Amino acid sequence: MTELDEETPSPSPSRKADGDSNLPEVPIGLLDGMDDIINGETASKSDIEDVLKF
Amino acid sequence: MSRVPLSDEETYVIFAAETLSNLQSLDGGKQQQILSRLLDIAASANLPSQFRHETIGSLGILTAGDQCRLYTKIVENIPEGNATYHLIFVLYIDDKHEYNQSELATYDPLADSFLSVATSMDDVESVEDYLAEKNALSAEDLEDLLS
Repeated sequence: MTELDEETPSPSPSRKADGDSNLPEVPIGLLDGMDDIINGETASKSDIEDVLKF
Repeated sequence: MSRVPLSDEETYVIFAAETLSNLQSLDGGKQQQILSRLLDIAASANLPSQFRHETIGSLGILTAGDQCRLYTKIVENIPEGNATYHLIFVLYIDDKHEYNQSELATYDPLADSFLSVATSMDDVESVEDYLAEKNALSAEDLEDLLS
């Protein structure tokens, strides 16, 4: 291992960089909802009607 | 001779598929609260963004009642013909507030960028067709659901 390797922190894509530490935590479902819109998956009026309880 | 308005503003609501299970988990009273809140915003003369309680990245959080939060992406001032459209994409309905760590994720700015691209209206040729394709609900549709 070189000296540079020892001194350079190894970034990991699975960990937040220091600058990202202020990112909020959100419910996972929000990310699913964002994915839905990105993929064009939306609920129709009749879909919604089917789950209403009033 | 009929009068043709020079300008008309309309707000539509588009629900992400994920929100169906969110809605299904709520009792009827809370479901009504959420739809009423969205109807109030859609029928208002004010821009939807003026109802935002807080923001995360490009997302706006709307409140409904004391407890519910609606995570949304709001796209405003889309012109077509004599009309101007505003869209509220409802991404997630939060009635819980307290989550286990396993139910939380760090908000992803990259996903935010993808969402902004996906909701950009720049390349949309016909807003009317887009609204139909995305199952967009008008204020009248929301009134129907509440009746």
